[in-house]
Amino acid sequence: MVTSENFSLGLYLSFRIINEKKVRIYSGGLVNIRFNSSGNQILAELVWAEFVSPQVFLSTQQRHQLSMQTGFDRLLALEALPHITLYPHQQETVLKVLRDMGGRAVLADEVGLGKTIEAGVIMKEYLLRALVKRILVLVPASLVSQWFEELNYTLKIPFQVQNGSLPWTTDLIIASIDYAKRDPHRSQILAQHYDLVVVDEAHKLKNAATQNWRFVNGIQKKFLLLLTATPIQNDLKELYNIITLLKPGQLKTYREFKREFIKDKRTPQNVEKLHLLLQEVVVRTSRRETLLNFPRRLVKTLVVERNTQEAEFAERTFNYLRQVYNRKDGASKSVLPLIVLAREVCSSPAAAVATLRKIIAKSGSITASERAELKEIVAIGQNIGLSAKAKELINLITSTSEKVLVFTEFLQTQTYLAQEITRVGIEVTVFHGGLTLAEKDAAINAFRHEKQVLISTEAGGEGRNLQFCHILVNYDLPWNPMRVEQRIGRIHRLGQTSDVLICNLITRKSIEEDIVYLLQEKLRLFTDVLGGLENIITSSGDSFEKIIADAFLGSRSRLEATCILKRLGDDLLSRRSAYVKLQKHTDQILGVRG
Amino acid sequence: MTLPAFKARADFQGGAANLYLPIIAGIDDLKLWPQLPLYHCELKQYQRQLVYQPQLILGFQVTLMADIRQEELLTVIVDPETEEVRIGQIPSGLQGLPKGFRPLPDRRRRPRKFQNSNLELTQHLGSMDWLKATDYQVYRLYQQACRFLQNYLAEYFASTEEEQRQKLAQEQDRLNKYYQGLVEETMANLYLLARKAAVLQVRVALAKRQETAQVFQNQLDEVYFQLNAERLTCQEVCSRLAVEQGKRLYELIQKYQPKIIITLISAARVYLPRARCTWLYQTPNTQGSLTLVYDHHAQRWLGLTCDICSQEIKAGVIGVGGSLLCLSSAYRCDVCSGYSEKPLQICSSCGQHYCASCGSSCLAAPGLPSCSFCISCAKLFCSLCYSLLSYGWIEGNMPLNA
Repeated sequence: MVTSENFSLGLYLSFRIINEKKVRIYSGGLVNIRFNSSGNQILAELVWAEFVSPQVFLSTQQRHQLSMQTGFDRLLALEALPHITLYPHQQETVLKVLRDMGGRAVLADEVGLGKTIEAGVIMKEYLLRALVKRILVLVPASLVSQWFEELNYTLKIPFQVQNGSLPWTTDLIIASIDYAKRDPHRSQILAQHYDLVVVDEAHKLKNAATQNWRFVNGIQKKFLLLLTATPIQNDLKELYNIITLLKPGQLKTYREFKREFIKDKRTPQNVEKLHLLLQEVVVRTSRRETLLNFPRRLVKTLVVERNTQEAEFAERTFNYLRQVYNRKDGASKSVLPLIVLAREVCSSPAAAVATLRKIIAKSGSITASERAELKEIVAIGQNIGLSAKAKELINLITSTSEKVLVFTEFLQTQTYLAQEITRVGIEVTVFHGGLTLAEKDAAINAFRHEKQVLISTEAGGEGRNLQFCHILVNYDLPWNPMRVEQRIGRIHRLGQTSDVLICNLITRKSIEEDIVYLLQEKLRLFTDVLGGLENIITSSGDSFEKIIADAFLGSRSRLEATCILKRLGDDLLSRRSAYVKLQKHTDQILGVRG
Repeated sequence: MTLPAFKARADFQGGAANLYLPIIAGIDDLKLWPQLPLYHCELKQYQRQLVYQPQLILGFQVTLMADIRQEELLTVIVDPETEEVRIGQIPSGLQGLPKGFRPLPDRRRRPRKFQNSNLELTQHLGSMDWLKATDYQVYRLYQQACRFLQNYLAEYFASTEEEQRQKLAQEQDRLNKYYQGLVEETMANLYLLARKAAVLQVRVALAKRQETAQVFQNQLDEVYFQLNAERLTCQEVCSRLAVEQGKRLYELIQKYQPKIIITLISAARVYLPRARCTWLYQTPNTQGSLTLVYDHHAQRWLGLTCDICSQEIKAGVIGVGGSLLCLSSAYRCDVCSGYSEKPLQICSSCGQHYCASCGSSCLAAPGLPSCSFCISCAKLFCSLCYSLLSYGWIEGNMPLNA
């Protein structure tokens, strides 16, 4: 029988066996006074130094005095990161978590209010104060790189991504929760002691019977931050599970919680008392409470006609792709290379030609007739010259004197565009993942001060401040809405003062036309700050890209493909409205003014 | 030099200094003999000299770490002259010590590397043999400062400790109630089955017919079977909960147990100008010399403390044994008018207090030690009364040693 006596603390040295190893729980009085031996260096200086100027000595004293850390009244993180300005609601959240909640909290701000930056500042603050050393950040796989960029570039915390090569004893580590919870990683993580664990999209921990919940519950951690905009989805039990994970006993046992606070599955009772208990562990700010004015997103979709050569090039490449797709049987159907090539065709002939050449060069992978066909396609692609989209882009750039940020997915397209734009006398700078840190900085500075156009790939511009630019051009469209949102997020974020113009360059009767329809008409991605996109688009089993590829490459006609995408669109629409409803319901339960 | 070594060096650069405080004309007029607050004795100025005495001023960074982090800078001053350790401030007007003022120890004895770890005081001091062997005075003073700081901080952070203790107790209470609740919920089914078994046992016992009893017995067997299974499940769940509770408790202690890290961040040996003065003194029953050091900056005598109560002497006397005494620790002898360090004896005859010196030699039998103690009445007498006794001036007493 477990009683309180079993675990009571005595004023004597006691040992307990926990997890089959001896852990020293407690010794002597509470305060544990230790002397740091680094002071030996000072004493040696004292003994052996002959002359030190008193001014130097006194200024050293002053330096120590100034660098002294007080309580959490002021945030050291903000002093260390002068490029970051927290909004009042963010600052309030950070201070509340540090001071009142003791580093264990659910950050449940409404979407788009900066939960990630709040969590990041909390981490930075703890690190600066040496209160934590080891941090584990668990996020969905799709958000790993986003977190990495935010923490490394914006918050200057040297996190490393767990890609299988790092030991779990690494101090600062970001990992996909699905990867981490699998053995042997799981058992390795459970054997560690972390100072701080951060879990993004924590609504995935809503069910205590799941592996996710049990895994996070098993981790030994001093501080815990759970980030979710929707701590309640269908049932109050979900909220209970999340809170219990954070602070066991805060809402007592589930039976007691149910008796006291649950009227029916979704409706609470004793609401005032529940709010008080939740306020001790949950921070939620609604958009209205922040009184922030987000700039508008203005969308302009420019549909261009392909010229004859381009049309022939695209048509023949897609025919080839369909052939290959239909040849593959269900189980071994690896569509990823096909998706890449299809996207390259949509981007620019230059990008597709490079890949087609590689396919031709690979001996044995294709038949002789296919090789001949591909060679013909390549020949067409090489002779295209200035494509219709590039021409439209140049027109767009020359029609304005403002800075223009052009996004493309492919390096070849980037190089091609840079050449074509420079040819008409417009100054261009490029940004991609292959640049060194100094080159990246130089490119951003050049764009800020001199050049009118920045052409960036997907890997470019992460975490960089590009808010001085208001025009974004999607030269090609990623087939994943998350990536589109990330592109827009580079310039449309808290801190942007002007409205943002998003131009989508698409070719008529292409896959991109349907994607734009999906993203704009169904998700309203370009105009609304929706947030929670990850939840909306990942609740269907297959990835968004695969659904699109299947629709286009597997359908017998364009009409069939359009029907598949329409169904997907309707599905997204219903999930979107469900998500919005959910946000309102969460506000009610948590006592937030919506 | 490697980059980390360079950085470490830069961190400590300027953290230690040997300095001195110059004599400022008008303020430190060393020609003057400061007034000595001693009374009932004759003092004669004999010798005075200017001396530079080192004082160790240590700057400690004290870091309190719990679920918050708080830092304080404390300056501890240790004076080898008085062995006094106190929290103070660095004096102003310090100057760099001229070259050659102080002989430097052999450089070859300087350790190349120092470890950076947090140790308990005894371990910490134990790891400083190099300092002990090189500059024992600094070692001793540093040791005193550390001991002082350890006691001082325990008091200084007492309220924080209490606060943390309360937080921990509160959190622990929540945790214990929660797990206790879970255990009770887990065992609820077990209680129900046990109750069912008890009811069935009664039914078996009370059954009138054998067949009925058999039916109940079968049911009872079934319940026992369930009960055993349930007990195993409960045991398993409870032990899992106990492990989990242990983990959570460990996390709490990690979070709330305050840790204080004391780091020496600066050290200065400051040479202070002081006047060493020697007097010749004479009291009714003793005479000798007295040497004291006067700190002109602090404007006080060093070491002018009462030998009995160790308090600083504002007004004092010299005892019969040559000790310095404050007025509240000194006993005035009614016989010789001198001051004694020890409590006085009282004469049974006249009631006067007399010191050891006044009762030290026997007047009745010169050359013999005093024994002013009457064998017949077992009373103490002062030497004066005793001498009167020997002439029979006090009636009813016999001369002693007769």
